[in-house]
Amino acid sequence: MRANYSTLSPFWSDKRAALSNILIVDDDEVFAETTCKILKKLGHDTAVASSVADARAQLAESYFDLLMLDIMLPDGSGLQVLEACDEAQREAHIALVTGHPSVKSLVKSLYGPNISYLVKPFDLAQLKSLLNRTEEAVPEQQQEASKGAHFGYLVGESAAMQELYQVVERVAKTRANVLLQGESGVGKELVASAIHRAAHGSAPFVAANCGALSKELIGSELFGHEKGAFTGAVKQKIGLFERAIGGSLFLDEITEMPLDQQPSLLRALETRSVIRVGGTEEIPIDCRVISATNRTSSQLAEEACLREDLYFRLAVFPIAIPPLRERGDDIGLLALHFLAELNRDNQTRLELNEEQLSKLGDYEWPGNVRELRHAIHRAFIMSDPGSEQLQLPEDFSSPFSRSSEPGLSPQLLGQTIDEVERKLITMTLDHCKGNKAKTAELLGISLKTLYNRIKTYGDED
Amino acid sequence: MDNKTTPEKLLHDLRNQLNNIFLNAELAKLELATESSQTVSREDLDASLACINLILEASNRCSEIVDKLADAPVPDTAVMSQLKPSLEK
Repeated sequence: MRANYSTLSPFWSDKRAALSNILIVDDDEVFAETTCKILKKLGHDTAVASSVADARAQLAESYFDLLMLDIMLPDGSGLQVLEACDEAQREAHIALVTGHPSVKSLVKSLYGPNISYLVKPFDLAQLKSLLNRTEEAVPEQQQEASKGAHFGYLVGESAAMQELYQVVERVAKTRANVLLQGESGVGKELVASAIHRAAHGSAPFVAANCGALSKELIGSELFGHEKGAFTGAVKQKIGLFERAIGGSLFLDEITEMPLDQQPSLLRALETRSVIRVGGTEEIPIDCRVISATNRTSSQLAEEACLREDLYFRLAVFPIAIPPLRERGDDIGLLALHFLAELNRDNQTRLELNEEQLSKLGDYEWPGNVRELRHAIHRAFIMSDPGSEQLQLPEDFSSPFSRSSEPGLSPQLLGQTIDEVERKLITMTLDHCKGNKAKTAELLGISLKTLYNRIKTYGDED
Repeated sequence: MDNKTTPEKLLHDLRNQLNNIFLNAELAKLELATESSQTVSREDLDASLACINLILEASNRCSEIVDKLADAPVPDTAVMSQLKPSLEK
């Protein structure tokens, strides 16, 4: 019998699991202990109460996001604990754990629909479903922000992002390898996660940064090794490819992989199998490889940091992720989303007003979504905890900010006007994705002039 | 059967024990996935998962039987007592 690896994955791939503080009220020690361990594995904090009195005492001292209540307790009913929650734990989510399915309808009629139920015996899927429902129960501005998350990861409603969502949806239906291209901070790993989620759901998502893998161990990391394969290989190791079987392997900063190691990767992609270092057995690998780079296509060609044959294996489906400055409409939405996350994690209710959102939208964000996220985090830390308004800094600029004064690029010095004009037209055409009418409008020339120039460049080449 | 050991109580206790089997099996899978995937050999991992999946499948079947028992009509004790002498004959 072959083990189903897809059943292993949700825990290391589920990045959405928010940290919650959960109180388990149950007198069954084994149940309480096991549930605690599982919830801790899923990244939550837990506490246990074995009686109504114990639960009341803990509720008086700590705040909990979720209460898992057994109905039958030694000194009373879980419903008595429910009554003690009225004021102190107003926003806590309640889950009644019961061995009696009939209790569900009875309690629902007494306490309304905002209570979840787990009827014993329940499995992990039901427990995770309960935790997801708890995460979804977020108030006002937080709800508004989370509405924008596509595929569970991507926030934005701009035209550029709508286009990206369509592409993600299409490629998810295939097994094609994907190369993600975009500036630093645009969220390449999140797009990779979105593709994986749309395609494989609960299968493994294994991520690695090629720039962080040491040259000597990169083969072992990717393909695994057998015991005794080299000094220090004291036991067999399963590589990243094998761990990703049935799911996706995300290789970030693929261009940082040493050129002399790239043939091994190429071979694995071509044969769809790996051989562990020091081993002889060919292990079939059925996984999608999603790679990413912050280099543009022209840089890839000029710098020769990626073998051409490997590029074509990796970039069966290339996706360009737009920088934040090209989707300015999303800045406010992203800022609200990040603030909602911080509010949820810190039990605060800070807000952004229209003027602040407009100020955020005016900045260029050269560090992209990552820079915006950190700016909101910094503002959150600096804001008065008693205030309801986030306090934004006067200036968002960083050492990487572009100068607001347009100057002459040093790279243009020494070039003729014709050469500069040609570069400007080519760059504008690229920016407008080949749309000549838009390019002519941006350049302030007629469409006829643009066509003439393009024809001249074609003749010269 | 003492006063406290009603069929409902027995079913409740049975569900509790089944639940503990379920959760511990899931926890074992979780431990294997997060802790052992890099250190345990593939064959050992496959074998362990196969065992755990068998436990889960068996527990699922038990759970279905418990549900059927809970839904089944309670035996009529009067009828049972009438049957008993006839059987003895």
